[in-house]
Amino acid sequence: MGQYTYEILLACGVLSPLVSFWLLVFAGPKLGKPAAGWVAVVLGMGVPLVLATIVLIGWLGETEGGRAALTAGAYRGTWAYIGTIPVTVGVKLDSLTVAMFFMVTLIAFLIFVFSIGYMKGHSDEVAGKSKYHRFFAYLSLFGFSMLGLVLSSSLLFLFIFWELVGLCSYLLIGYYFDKGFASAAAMKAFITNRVGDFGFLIGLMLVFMHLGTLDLDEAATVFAQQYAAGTGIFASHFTLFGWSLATIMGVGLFCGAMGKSAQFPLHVWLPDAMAGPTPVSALIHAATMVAAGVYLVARVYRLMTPEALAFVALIGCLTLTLMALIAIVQVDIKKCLAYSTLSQLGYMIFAMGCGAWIAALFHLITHAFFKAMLFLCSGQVIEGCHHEQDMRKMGGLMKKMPVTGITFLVGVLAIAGTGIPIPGAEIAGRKIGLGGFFSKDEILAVAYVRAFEWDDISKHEEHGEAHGAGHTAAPEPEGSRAMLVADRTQAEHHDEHQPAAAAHGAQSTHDSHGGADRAAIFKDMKKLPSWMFYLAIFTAYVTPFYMMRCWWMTFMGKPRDQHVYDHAHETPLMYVPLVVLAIGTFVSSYFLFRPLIEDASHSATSAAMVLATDGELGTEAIHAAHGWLRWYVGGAFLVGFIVAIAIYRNGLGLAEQLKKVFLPIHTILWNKYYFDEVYDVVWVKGCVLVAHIARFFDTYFIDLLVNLSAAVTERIAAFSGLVIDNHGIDGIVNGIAKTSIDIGGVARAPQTGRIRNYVLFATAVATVVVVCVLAFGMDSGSGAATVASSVAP
Amino acid sequence: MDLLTLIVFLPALGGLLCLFVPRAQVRVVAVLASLATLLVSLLLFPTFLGGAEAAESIFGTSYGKLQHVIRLPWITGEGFEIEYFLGIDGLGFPLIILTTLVSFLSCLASWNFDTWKINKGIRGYFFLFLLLETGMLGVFVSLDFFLFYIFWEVMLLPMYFLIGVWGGPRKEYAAIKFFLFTLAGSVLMLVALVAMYFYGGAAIEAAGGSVPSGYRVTDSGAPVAITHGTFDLIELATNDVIQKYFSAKATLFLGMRFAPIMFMFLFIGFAIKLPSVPFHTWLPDAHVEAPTPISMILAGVLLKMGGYGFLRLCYPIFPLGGEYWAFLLATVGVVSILYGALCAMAQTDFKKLVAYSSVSHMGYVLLGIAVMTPAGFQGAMFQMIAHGISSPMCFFLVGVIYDRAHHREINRFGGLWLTMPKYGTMATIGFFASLGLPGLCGFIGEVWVLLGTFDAGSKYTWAYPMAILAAAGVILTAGYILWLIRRVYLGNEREEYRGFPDASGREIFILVPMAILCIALGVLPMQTVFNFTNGTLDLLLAGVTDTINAMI
Amino acid sequence: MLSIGLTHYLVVAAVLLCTGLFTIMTKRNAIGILIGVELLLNAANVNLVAFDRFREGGLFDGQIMALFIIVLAAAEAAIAVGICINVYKNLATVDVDSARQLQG
Repeated sequence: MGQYTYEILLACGVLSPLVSFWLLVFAGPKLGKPAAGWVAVVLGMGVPLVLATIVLIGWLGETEGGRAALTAGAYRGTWAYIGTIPVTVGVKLDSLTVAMFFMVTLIAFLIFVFSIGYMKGHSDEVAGKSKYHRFFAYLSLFGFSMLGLVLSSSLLFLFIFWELVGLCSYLLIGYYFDKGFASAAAMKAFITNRVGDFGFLIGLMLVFMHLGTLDLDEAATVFAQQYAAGTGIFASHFTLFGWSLATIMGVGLFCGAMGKSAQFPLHVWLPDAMAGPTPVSALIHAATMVAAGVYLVARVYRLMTPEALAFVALIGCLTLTLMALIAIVQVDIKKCLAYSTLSQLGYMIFAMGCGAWIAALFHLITHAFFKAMLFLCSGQVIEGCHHEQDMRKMGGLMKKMPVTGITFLVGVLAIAGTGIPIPGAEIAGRKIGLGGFFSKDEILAVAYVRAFEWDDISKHEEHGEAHGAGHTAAPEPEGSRAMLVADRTQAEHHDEHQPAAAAHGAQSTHDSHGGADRAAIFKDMKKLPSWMFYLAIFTAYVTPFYMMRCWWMTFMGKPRDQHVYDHAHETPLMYVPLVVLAIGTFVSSYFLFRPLIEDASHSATSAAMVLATDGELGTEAIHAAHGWLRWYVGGAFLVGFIVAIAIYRNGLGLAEQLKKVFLPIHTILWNKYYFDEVYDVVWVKGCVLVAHIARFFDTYFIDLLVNLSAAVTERIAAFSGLVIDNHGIDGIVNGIAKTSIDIGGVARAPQTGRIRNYVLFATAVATVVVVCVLAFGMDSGSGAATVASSVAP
Repeated sequence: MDLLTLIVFLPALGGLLCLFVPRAQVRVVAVLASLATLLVSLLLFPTFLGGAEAAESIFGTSYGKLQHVIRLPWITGEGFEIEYFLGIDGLGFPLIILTTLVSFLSCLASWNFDTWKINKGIRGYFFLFLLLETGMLGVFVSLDFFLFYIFWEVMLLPMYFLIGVWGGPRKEYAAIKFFLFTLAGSVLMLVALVAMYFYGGAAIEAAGGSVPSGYRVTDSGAPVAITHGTFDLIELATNDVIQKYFSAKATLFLGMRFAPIMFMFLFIGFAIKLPSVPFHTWLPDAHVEAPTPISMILAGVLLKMGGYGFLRLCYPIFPLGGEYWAFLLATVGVVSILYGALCAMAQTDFKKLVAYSSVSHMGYVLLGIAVMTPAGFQGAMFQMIAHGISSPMCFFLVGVIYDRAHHREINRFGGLWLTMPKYGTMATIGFFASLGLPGLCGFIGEVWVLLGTFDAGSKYTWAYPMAILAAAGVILTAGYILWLIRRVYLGNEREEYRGFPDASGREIFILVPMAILCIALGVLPMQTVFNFTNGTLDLLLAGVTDTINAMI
Repeated sequence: MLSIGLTHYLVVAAVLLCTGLFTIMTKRNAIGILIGVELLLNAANVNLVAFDRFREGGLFDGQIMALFIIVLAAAEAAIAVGICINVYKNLATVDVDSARQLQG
């Protein structure tokens, strides 16, 4: 198949659920109850599954070189510019994408089908109203977002789809939003994820600023170049908690994964998320979305520094241990599975941190199959038992639900890592075992080497690198190279036994940076603290215990609640997906996905450190580790099973007694280490308190200032109006007026209104004037004389 | 008839017509007038057709290359000339479309005027409403500072009356608060206006009485000679002589360096409008008291004038001020983001919550502009447009429920998504857009601003913590919006709201365009906004950076 | 024979003036006052005519002014009587002391 064929098929696979989503949004109510569901099954996931299968088949037929060419030539278009830096939209086309795409579509398709059966009764009703089409619309939207996430080639698009799957999760957890706890859980999930996204954003900002691109591949290249040259992000001397800027970037990006994959201490949302319908728990909160965190770490692996990976390992280790312990005391069947999911996610993250890139993703895929199956089984049980989730009220359901019971057991065996660790017990050259047997085993093997044999190996690498720099393909002693440092060059020179130094030498001829930088950064990796390894091994024993406990309490023993037992039944439409998943758990994971992921590791992790261990790849040291480890891990499931059965064989009596003995520990586990309570007080209440302080400040301080200034202005105005204006300026004006009036009053007195007076007055004045003129006026006097003289005859 | 003149005065004409038609027809006339304005404003689009390259070449060639320019002498006297100078570039154009759209939708939201508590004076209401639209459009198209100032004030008075007459219980308080706050800003702007004119004149005087224009050429291609101070905003920004004089160390105003102090004057004027902490308290009061359509206008358009003012006046004319105050401005922006979000979280009044969310969102605008990076400017501009769509939508959503329940107490609601499914779906889109969910419009602006801020870290060390604090805002935003959704829309149905009718046809008609735009902007930011704005913003930023570098 | 000179005329005019003034000042009857006013005017006429007669190069302008005054006096008398009638109508008397409505 050509480049475009792959891209178009994958793009159609992403867009098809979106079409289904819009169709259901607009036409959903008209389609009615079963039809809307089938639209989602066919258009929402059926089409993508078919396309994914075609892609997978085509991809398996490609050669190594062909795959590399396809990866390199994948589509990149410019979506927008941030400042002057383009944000590309494109298809990330490599083996990991193909594997994830197929895995997601397959599991999602089965769960969609299961959902139709699950929603058959009244499960679609919210407060008595059917929201059937809405449920499938959300599922379709989730399909779109998840597939988009898998396909994204740019960190920003990864982030966009990342948030969109978060939205779908929010909507689906809150599907029964009439229930207070469901809407609260939805909100909790979204906000906790946002906390992680805050870190993601910081990582994104650092990538954007220092690497100058948001494209995953380009960023990795630039990162490697900067590492080699000591420029860019490596030029900064800024440190925080002893972390360099580059480490902060990696940790920041990992914070996103912590949110989505519910890693300690952001794990609190996942158990609550079980408030959603069970198919949702299976799809989103077990198989796909929560694994997106691991997928993200896988994708940004090339941007991780050894310190960042150490942090990743630490978080993973804490999560896997603490959550497994909580699972022991859970009585709610879904919660028990939820904590088991948390623990398994912890394993994956821990593996990433150890450098077991391949093992982590491998575990992701095997886990997706068996955990989806387990959740669907629990859905079957819950639906069958009239929405009863308390395992203490179940028991003996095997008789009523044989198919569910058996498929559940398959899941339990798979998660426990059941297999036959005896050397020689092989079929077609492979060990016999279920998914978890291989993946967990490999994680632990790498962890072992990192914890105990790392110093020798890294010294060797350093040595090898020195040789590599000198282009001397000096053969290293066989057996010393325990780790495979995988990169693209190695994919081309696919000689597994070629010494490391030779590989590096070859690398440097192909790529001026890659090899040496990778080796240098690899060399910086520290030894893993041994307690991490012990915790991981310890948890490998706990896992079978709580899973078997869960299964036994539900399906074996005597029925503890007759009402629940009487009601229990199976729905045929719902167990078809179960059976398919069970088969998938058995066969597909190892034979199909392990090679694909291994292949992906060549291109996806170049310029970083990947440790792989496998029967074929490893050498003496790893074989040794693997060999005796296999006994411990292989034995683990037996020990766990036996203890669980021993305790729960005769009902809950013994368990109750043990609970009394270990009461303090039980209380702590029962309350989930009081995380919810502490978060509620510190973050939720704290935030609301601060908010109220802010509001108080706003209302009574800032507004007070505003009103005060208004009041002061008013006072000033009043002062100037009353005092200055009224008594000052107005005083002058009014004074003039008053004087005029007074004068007028005086002048008014002679105005008697009697004509006689006026005449008298006028006459008097005239007389006075004439007298004056005659007496004093010289001119007028002379004038008079002139008149007199002129009239003289 | 010139297109821009038509766009600006069409609403006012419609408003006058409202005064003379029979009472029953007033709202029809008003809606038609605003619709006509919207349609006419869409005629501006053909100028930019031809994709990103065409838009780039139109807005990108020079800051002065404006479109649809009309330039007539208006008030001319000895030594001064005030012009009727309109034109659009990448700053004004998207805001004009936004204004005509939001005005049309909020005019439609006023359709049920008769059912309001205060339903007297329908003529006056629509007249003032349309006059307000004229004022707003005028601000976005005028390129003469004097004209700009006049439109700025023209817009103020209708708003005062629209809140003060048709508002809620405390309308007088809210209206006067709005009026005084804005007026205080206007006063400072007026000082700047006069100072810029005289100092510009002094610069030209010092340079020999006649200098070549920074961007205008005569028919023969020679630059136009400028002989006296000018109110031409583009001239002030592009003329080298004036720019040098403005940013020179020796140029003082009241004993302080000219550019920073003038920048501050203008900044306070626009920051009040934006609004940024601590000048924001008029906003919640105004929103709470204003009728729904007025809130839509207020949030959708009026707040954008602040941001527009920064980009049109403060930065191009006083780049040095931007450099001088960068830290302060960014701090104010970050404080607005966090403080607005925190205040929003503590509100119990639905509308007040949305109002405080506006303070928070507009903080991103200020932050993006303050750091003076390409991504920051782009993000700020985008955030203005995006907020101009999502926030009127949120206010309308509040209005819809207020029309039915006659109260806005968040804690008394619940289960509305069950009662009113269509409305609930629309509300989800609106509030998630406000929350900044990727794929919706709020996300782009925030991310661009955050990346832009972080990018400024190479210039300003303080930009890192600012960006991180601002990024923490996304958690708070998610917190208060989801909590709101949970309290109002989720949960079980409440008895007292059971009979509420779902959103009517008219309400859906108003909400759908905004919902579509929320999605369109989020999915295709380049095609919807950036292609129109980036050319101008890049030039603007280049000019700003050049001046700053020349001065340092 | 006593020749009649200017002085005689002036004396007559002065007597007339004084009589008129006295009449105006003493009478309360409006008509009486009117008669007093007429006497004043005629005193002025006598003076005008006399000065004109005894001035060198007289151009009869004194006489002309006297004629004007006579005409004006007639008109004035008509108006004044009209006023008196109206006052009487309103107050049933022509006593000027009782017509004080316009006093401030």
